[in-house]
Amino acid sequence: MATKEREAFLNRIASKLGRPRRSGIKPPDWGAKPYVHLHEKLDQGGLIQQFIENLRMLRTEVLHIFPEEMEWALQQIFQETPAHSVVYWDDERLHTLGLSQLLDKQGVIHRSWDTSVDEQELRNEIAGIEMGIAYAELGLSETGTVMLWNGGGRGRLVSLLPPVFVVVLSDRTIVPRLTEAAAYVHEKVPGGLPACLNFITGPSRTGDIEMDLAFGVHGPGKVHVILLKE
Amino acid sequence: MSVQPLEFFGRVDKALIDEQLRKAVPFTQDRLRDGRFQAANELGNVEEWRNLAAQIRMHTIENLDSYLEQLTDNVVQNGGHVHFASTAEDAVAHVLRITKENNARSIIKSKSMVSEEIHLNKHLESEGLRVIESDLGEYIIQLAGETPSHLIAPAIHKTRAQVAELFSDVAGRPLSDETTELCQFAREELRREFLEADIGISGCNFAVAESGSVVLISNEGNARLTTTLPKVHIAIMGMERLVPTWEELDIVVSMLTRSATGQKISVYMTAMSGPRRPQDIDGPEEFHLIVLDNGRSDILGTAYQEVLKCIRCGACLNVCPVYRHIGGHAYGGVYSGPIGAVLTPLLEGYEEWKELPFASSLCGACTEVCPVKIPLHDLLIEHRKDEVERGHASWQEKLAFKGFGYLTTHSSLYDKAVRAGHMATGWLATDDVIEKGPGPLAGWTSVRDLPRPAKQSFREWWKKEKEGGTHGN
Repeated sequence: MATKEREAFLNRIASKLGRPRRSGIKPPDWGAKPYVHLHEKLDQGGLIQQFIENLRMLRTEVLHIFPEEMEWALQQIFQETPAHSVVYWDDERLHTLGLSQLLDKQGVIHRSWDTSVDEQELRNEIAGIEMGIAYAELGLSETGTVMLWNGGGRGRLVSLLPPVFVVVLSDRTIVPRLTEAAAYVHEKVPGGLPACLNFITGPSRTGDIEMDLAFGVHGPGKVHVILLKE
Repeated sequence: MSVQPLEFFGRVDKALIDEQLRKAVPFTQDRLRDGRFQAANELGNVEEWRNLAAQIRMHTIENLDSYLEQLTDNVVQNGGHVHFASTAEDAVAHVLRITKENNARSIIKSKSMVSEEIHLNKHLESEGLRVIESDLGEYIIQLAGETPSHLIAPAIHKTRAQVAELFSDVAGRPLSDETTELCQFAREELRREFLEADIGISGCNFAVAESGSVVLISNEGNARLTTTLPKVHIAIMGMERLVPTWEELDIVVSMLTRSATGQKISVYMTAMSGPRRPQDIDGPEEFHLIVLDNGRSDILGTAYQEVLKCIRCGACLNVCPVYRHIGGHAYGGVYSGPIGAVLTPLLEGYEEWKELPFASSLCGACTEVCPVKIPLHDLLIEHRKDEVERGHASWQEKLAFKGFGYLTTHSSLYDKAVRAGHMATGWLATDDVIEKGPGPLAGWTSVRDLPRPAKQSFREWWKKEKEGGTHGN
């Protein structure tokens, strides 16, 4: 960025606004919180229920299970959405659940998002993989959204290229709405954000052909959520 | 820059006889409008939301230099490159330079109105580059060689049969007109393009100053693919499309998706903060942000400043009775509907766009739904005033308004004029209704009736009424 070029650009804005150039402005305290009434009557159980219902309306089933029931949950998912190959985040939270062994039991080919391998090779391989599994940082009750904190072994293509996406998260991390997620991100800003953060709400969809709803035009057309009771 | 093949009235006439358009536009309008209405109802306090969103946008515009400085500092801090473009030509030149530096041959794009505004595809193609639009609607109209006809649903004027025909040509085999088959074909075809593209170009729904993030919102996921698979990502933003922090992002995003389609949130909201980090093995290795002025700074400090609050949701299109009848292409510019009628003359001048501020019934429905409270119909009136003052209005109109102004400030003359109007139209009217008017009235009466001017002015009637006289009509 040429500093001179930028100064000319910003000075022009200031002069059009009819005042000296400003710098270091912070937003005021807005006072208004128009979202409070939307969830103030919901306790954590209510938020979880709403999260599940919102996803159901988006054709996405939520399996609300204890961590020990992971094997059963995966069985359910593979029964409904047959897949033969899986790529999953290289993430401690998934390893703790014993995902690799559980996938062995399902008899599917699987690999983690191993950043030590050649990028092109990994990319070629996952272009044909049928299912991606990731672990979400937060779930937003009002919308049924999950927030993915990508980076390193938490590859962003895992939730994007395969036609089926499975996301795991803890029910303790269900928050009321985007407001809380935005506050969470805001707090992390001083330490730096990852290159990519995803908020995902159900399967990829389009209405571009005569407003006729269709799924999976680019992203995964099928999403499963495993919500862990913790 | 002109993109009009026909003059405004020619385009309107063409739209009015297009039966497909006359069906598709109201259908889409109703679906999107009802979605917004329902979402607003569910909030229960949409006015509070609108007030806050409007305040946030106004505060940002009023301090635009400061927030742009903060944003671009942070993009650089994140490892990205920033380019400022005063004009469309500057922006195109930046993009071309980046493509050359990277020896790029193919470019994949996600939906971006700003790139339409600078006619980017045309310039890239003339340099021999392959450019593919990846949003399904944009892909359809690109194959058809057309421009978007709606901010949110660019291909609403196309039938499934037309889409099937376009896709069959690409496939080299006949495809059915089933939505799922067409989408599956687009997925496979475009996935190949994504994997091969050298550069991904996106717009920017919002940038967040505090973190140097570019936020993209989509339902299909093509914006994610565009910004993840190619080695280079270029984001082009209108210079006003930012918010101070993530706190404000929450409010404007909550309003954007609800106002656009009625969704509480879109399927994908992605925040990109610079290129991939050393520990990442996916995502672009290079990130460029192009900040575009292209006439926007000339709007600052004028009566039209509030138009810069716009978040491109399209809600004003979905309630507009004029848009309903003529669709998006008749407006001729990149932005259609009420927002287009306000914005296009500001960005590109009255010379070519003087009719647009008159493509409105001034019913005010647009202003009522705008999530950031842009007084759209007031700004249309402001345009009409400015056009007269700058000599862009037709002589008939100037004369008419001059005459009307004189009459309304001279009450006895006005009373006489009303009576004369009533008498003069007697031969045209049946039961005080004119069904077939001559000359300038024909445009009105060919599609609707015109009430005959009253026998007396309201002042006269009121005077008699107060004096206890007979009831006039």
